[in-house]
Amino acid sequence: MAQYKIIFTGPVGAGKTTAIRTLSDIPIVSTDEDASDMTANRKPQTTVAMDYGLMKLDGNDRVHLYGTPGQERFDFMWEILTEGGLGLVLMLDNTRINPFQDMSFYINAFREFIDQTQLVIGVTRMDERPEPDLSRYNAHLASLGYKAPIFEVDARKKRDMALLVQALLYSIDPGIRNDG
Amino acid sequence: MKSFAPLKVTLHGMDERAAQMFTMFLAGPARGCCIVVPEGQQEAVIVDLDGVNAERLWLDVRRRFSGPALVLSVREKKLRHSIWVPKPIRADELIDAVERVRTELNTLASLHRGEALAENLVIAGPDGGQSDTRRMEAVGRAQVPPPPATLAVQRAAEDDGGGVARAAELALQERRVHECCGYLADEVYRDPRRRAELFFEPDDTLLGAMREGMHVAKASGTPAVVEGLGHPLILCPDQRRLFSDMREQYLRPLCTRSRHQTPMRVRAIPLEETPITTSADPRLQRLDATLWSVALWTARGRVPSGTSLDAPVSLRAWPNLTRLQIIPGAMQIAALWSKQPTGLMATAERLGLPYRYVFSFFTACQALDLLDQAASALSSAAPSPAQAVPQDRRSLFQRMLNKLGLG
Repeated sequence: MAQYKIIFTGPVGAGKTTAIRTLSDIPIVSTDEDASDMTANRKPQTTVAMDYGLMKLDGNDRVHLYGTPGQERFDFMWEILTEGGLGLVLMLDNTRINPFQDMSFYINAFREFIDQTQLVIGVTRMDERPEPDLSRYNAHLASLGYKAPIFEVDARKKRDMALLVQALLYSIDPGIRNDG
Repeated sequence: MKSFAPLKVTLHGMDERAAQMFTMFLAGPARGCCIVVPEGQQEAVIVDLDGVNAERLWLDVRRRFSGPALVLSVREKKLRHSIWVPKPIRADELIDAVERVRTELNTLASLHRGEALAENLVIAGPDGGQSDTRRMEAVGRAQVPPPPATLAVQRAAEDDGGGVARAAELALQERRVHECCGYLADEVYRDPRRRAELFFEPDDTLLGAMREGMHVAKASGTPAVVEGLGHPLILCPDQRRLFSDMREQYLRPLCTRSRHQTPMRVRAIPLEETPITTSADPRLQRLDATLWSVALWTARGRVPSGTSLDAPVSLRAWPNLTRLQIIPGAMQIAALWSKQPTGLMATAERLGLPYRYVFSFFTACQALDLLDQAASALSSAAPSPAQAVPQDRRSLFQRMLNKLGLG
């Protein structure tokens, strides 16, 4: 039985835990704790170690879904989590003060992993705040030296998250075919 | 504008006050798309599934009614023969869901009458798609003909266990593909004598009028209106919005008509002339999504005249595919053009896709200004050899795609 994993990262409140819950076939394992710092301004609980979900595939294969803690002080976890990962799903929150700064931070933090695999970006809460729009996200990503799928997503919607993961897979291999 | 009778519904999982509020919402922002009727007269049910006894409520509703259901909840619900409408409920999302139910009911009625099996559920004949071409020629691009259903639809229709609903769903999906990608068979694309069939003149279409409107709006700094369609189409590129009370059923046929058949005028309008509306007004639509759909309905497997079929195409930025109409192969084509510039013909051959998918996707991406195309087939660097993907990895990805359930 082969084991694979996809990593979800992004700032506090961007929807990583929700995204994993949406895609997982099992109840997710979450290590949320009451926030005691500035994080509490964005959500009452925050992930302190990691989130974990699982996609069960035909043939008994498993794809593990790992969410990194959103707070930077837990970044020692990130390198451990990414080892052997298929790719990175970066979740960004459009209502944060400077989502481009978030993008730069996480891309620089995961640059080595992204260079070895692939990146996709999901931007949440664009219905609450439509600016900046995706063209500005694409321009900022290009300024960091990358081109990757950037989609507007609602992390609660299976279709949105499924399309984001599809884009990750096709970015790795445009030649794959869907028989489903 | 084409008008429909309101869908007859009953409400479940709401107390009296919530039901009254929701009824007002249906009559107001949701523009009367549904009407609440006594139990037994409904065509569909609307169920609020965020209550404490949601599971019991659902079973109870299903015991009494097996037809289409609109399920209202904060979290996505995947329930048999139902459509999820996320909370907070937006009028446009509810109206779209109601239209899907209406389409499903119509298709089901058609299947039950046996008309669909007699007329539409025809397995592709041995002419290798020539009938597609004849159908295209016959309509003279004036009107999109009904799509031929495939073997999958026929099998689903013949299946006993809920197959009719599945057949209706498949037939609807196939119709949408045909509306966007047309009917041209691959042989037409390979035949140099039939090259003219692969192109259209964008300036002679609604797509061209919309593009003209966007230029006018940008130059004048005010919205622009496209007139002559029966109902005005107001473009506000600064807000990336479009105002129109024309819904898809009305707009789509207009894309198949030339500006000679439907004379269209474009002019800038002062801000005072634009309707006062709120963001919840379903007439206020996303400009990118409408422009994308109009491009697909116009293209129907073709590209704008003057497009090179061989010069490499590259994607400057991915289209926002979670909020745009998706055609088969869109993800694969986007991924390829993002990684490695490839000509139109070569893209279809390399990915094993029908040419018409690639051509329609190109036209839609071009409408949103997401593409670059080299001046000629020889003007770009030789493509880099594709990275070999191990077979076990490709097999894994295929199973993941099947699991994710989207084509």
